[in-house]
Parts: sequence; structure tokens; C-alpha cells
Amino acid sequence: MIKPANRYENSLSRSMAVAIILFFIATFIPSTAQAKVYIDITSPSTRKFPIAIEDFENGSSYNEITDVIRADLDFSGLFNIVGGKGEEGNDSFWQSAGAEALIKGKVTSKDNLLIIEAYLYDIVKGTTLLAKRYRGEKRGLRNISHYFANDVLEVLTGERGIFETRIAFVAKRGRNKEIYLMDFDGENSRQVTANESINLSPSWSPDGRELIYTSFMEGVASIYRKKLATFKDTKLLNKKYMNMGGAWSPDGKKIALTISKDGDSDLFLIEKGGSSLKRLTSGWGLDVSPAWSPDGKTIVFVSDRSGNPNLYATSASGSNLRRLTFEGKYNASPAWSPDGKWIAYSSLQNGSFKIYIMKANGKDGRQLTFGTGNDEEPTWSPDSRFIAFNSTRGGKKSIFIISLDGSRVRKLKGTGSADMSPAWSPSLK
Amino acid sequence: MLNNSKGRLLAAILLICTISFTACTVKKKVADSLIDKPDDKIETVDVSGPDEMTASKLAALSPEERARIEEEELARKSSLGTMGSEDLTAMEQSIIQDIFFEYDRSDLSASARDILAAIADWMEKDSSVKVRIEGHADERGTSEYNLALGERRANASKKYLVTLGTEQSRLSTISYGEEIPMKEGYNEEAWAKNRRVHFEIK
Repeated sequence: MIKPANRYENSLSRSMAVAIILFFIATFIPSTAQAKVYIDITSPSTRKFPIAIEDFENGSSYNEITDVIRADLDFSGLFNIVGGKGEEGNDSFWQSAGAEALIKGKVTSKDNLLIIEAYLYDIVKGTTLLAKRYRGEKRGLRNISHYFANDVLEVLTGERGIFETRIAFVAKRGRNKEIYLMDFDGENSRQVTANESINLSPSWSPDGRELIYTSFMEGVASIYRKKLATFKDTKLLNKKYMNMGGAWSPDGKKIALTISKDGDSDLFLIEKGGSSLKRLTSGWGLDVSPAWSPDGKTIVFVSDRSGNPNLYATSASGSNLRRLTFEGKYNASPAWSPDGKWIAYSSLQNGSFKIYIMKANGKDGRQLTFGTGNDEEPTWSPDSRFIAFNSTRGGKKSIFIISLDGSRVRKLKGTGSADMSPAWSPSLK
Repeated sequence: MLNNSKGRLLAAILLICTISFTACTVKKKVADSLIDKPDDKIETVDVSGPDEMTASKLAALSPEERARIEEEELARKSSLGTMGSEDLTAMEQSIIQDIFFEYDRSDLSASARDILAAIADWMEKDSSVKVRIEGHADERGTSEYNLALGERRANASKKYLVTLGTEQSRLSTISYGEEIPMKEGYNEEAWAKNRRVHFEIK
């Protein structure tokens, strides 16, 4: 720090000295700073970060790679993609087009394998932010592209993207309903049950490797666990009475479910192996659709104990049962956001179901979806920024995604049959 | 201010600051040549494709492998409850009728109770007969709630039959919720026909 050459006696000179010192501090500290804040996703009015994506070298047979990267970054709502496909140029070209970062890459293939080298450059500071080689099978091309897009997001925002997540859902097949998976962007629908009966309510294990779902395959509706890698099903409860709508606890140890016996439907907890059945609710009402808080302490559910279906909450030990919704004739399908802040649900008001969100304490409920048709069955993305739901706004039931601020809605391709009951997977660790 | 040596020194300092400031922000040249370098220092990661076992992957396996995996899956298949009463005599068909409910209700109407009384009577006369009581709901609302509602309706019917003297062991209940509508249609005419309990002779 440079001190003034002489001592000044009057206060004006002294304040000038202070100003000079501060100016120097302000000048030199930024140039030695380590991290530049590229995108602050917690800030409510985030400006969209301008980024350019060039076609990858040798990538003409693999155009899909940059298509996927473009679509993923656009989906996040955080980027303004500068320039069109096929455009390329040097840094000054892209800078004058308004971009602050640039993605480039190169593809090589060998037998069944693809090797993609991909780079992310800060073209304002002239630094390389990301340089990585990705290897995988050709059929996994979209997965590799999603992985890179996740890395881009992690470098620029500090948080990994959700581009490799999947959505489990139910699709009609003639008179039957089977469970399917698709990529979060609606592509690659694949069928994971084939028992030719009615299958409902898919729900993910916290590690993303299993689904539980409710099936009529053996007669009475029962919950089954399916290991996705092997297709193998295990019945959760070996009982004759109906059990349905299971939800896995966040620590992976227990499943909350509804058991219907002698006409009454109540919530129970069970160890995931099927032992230690514990009653959670009792009484006359139909208690269904449990959903856990991410800290595992509270369960929100639907009950008609007041006369019509409303949302209630209880501690995971069954105490402190309280009502959460008081408006609308039918409130159902609660889903707790992974960050713990919100509960999304569907509510029948003004003649149709729409998706609403409220704070975890039940306050400040507000409508999220608008328009025609019925919007139901919300499920949260792992980063709590998006909700997938099923809607009849286009006629047939289809799955849509809306951003939490309500600004963007997009329809997912799915199977094209009637698609419903979406469940968003966790991010793979 | 510039008229004294102190002022001039100050101006010189400010000038130096400005120049340094500019120098600190001069852009470095981007090394495009990174692409051409076979850089062994680049981190490499293996990314696997979608790896779930799916119905179509199953179908592509050899018959032996598929049989091994599907054995459990297919052995569990059971046909869903039928809607018709094909094997009943005309008289039986007039007795074993569906009963219907108000929206979101499970209470038995007067005509429902008459039908149940006739069924109880008929079951008393033929003690070999068992009945499966199937509960249904219309499609409005969630499938889970409707499964529970169908079960409540089926159970209300069973309880009434028991109070009329039918042995509990001859009655079983099952709910199909909204999943097997009698009549398709997004209107009250269809919905009213779907809010029902159906009796299946076993």
C-alpha cells in the first residue's frame, strides 16, 4: 500500500489521501481474486448468462450432442444461447455477438465407443473453465451430453445440473397401465413393468436404483419394490388386504404407505424389508398419499376426515397431527420440495384442478399453473427448481414441466399414449 | 491544486494508478490450441448409458435368459375382475345387480339396501356360493383416494350383508378405484354409472 509522500495538514488533503488508498485497494484486489461469480442461481432476478456453443469437430454424425447441450442449458432458464447452430468464430467474433463463455469440443469414435473432448472457455477473461474427456457407448450419446451440461452448470453456478435425472410415470396400454421411465427432457421412454395389469403410483428409492409402485398383478392392489437393474419385483407386504401409495423415507430405511382394511384406510410405516409394521394414523377418514419432508421428520398426506379431501401433516412418529389446507373442495397429491421449503399439491378450485404451492408450514399457498384442463400429481426436480405434473390441457393426459417461478411450461414427449403420475428421480450420486 | 509540488505528486500517483488498472485487465489470449494438444492431463470420465432392464431389453434376451427373469414376473399375472355376469341365470342376473353411490359417498341408498337384501336371501338359499364384492369410483380425484373410496364402498356393502345374516367367510372385498370404469365419458352420466359396487360370484 502506497502511503502519501508527505503529511497533509488540512482535512481536505487528508480525505484525498484516504480516497487514493481506497482506490488502490479497489484496483488491486479484484485482479488477485480467485473466483468470479458467473451465475448466482439464488438471486431472484438473475440475468441470463450469454453463452455460445459451437458444433463439435468431427461431430457431423453426432449433431445430437450439441443439440442436447443447447436444450439442457436453455431448459435451466439461466442462459441466453448466443448465435445459431453452425456458427463459429474467434473470441472477438463471439464477444461482439454478446457471449461471455464459449463451448467447443471434438468427437472421436472407436468401434462402439464415443470419446468426446469438451471445453468451456471464459472468453472475457481468456481462461479455460472446464476441459474434460467423456467416454461412453454410442447409444449413451445423450447421457454423455447431459453429463457435460451438468459439469458446465456446476462450474458456472456451483451446483450440479439435473440433466441426467429420469422421470418414472404411468402410461396407458390398452386396458392396462404400465410403469415407464423417460429422461427428464421427455426423451427415451422405456417400459419397466410388463405384467399386463394395472400399475400405479411409482415412487423412487433415495439412491435412485429402485422403484416402488402399486400393482393389481396378483389381484388386490399391493405395493411392489422393483430393482431397476434387474427388473426383479418383490412384494412389500405378504398380506391379503389392500396396500398402496408407498413413499420411501429420505434415509432409505422405511416406507410410508396406506393399508385399507375393513373399509378404513390409514397410514402405516414399514421397514423397507417388510417388517415392523407401525400404525401412523387411525380414525374414520381415508388417509392416503403420504409424502416425506426431506429431513424425514414430517409426513404430509391426504385425508377426508373433515368431510372432503384435504392435506394434513403428522410427525413421523404419528404425533402432532394438523390440517394444512382450508380452501378448495379437494386438495390432494402433496409433494415436498427436496430443499424442504415448499409443498406442491393439486387443488380443486373454480371447477378444475390446478397445481398450487405453499410453504412447508402450510402458509402462503399460491396457484402455480393456469389455463384449461386439470393439472394434477406434482413432483419436484432434485434441485427444487422445477415441477413435473400431469395435465389434460392438451386433451389427452400428458406430462408437463413448469419452472418454480411459473414462467415456463413445456410438454414432455413421453409415450404419446395417456401419460400420468410422474415421479422425478433423485440425482445419481 | 496542481500549482504546488504536492498536487503534482498526487496527479502522478493517480496517473500511475490508472495505467496499472488498465494493465491488470488486459485479456489473455485464449489457447485454442488446447484442442490440438493431446493433453494427457485432461480429466477423463466414463459415462454409462441408460442401464435399466426394460421390457424391450427383456424381449431381446435369449429365450432361456428371458424365461429365468420372467418366471416370477409372469407367474404373478392374474386377470382383473370381469364386469359381466355371463354365467348367471336370468333370475340370478335380476338379483345380483350393481348398486350405485352418490359422489364421494359410501352410504347405502334405499334401493341399494333392497338389492343387498335380495342377495343375502339368495346366498342363504345356496350355501355353497361365495361372493367377491368389488368397489369402484368415478375418475375425478386421485387414483389413490379412489382406491380407498372403492374399498370403503365394498366394505359398507359387506357389513350390511353380514348384518342380514350372511357368513363373513363367504364374502371378500376388492377395490379397483377409478381403474375399471363401466362407462367412459367426462360427464355425470358416465360418472354416476362408475360409482358402484359389483358382486362377482365365485
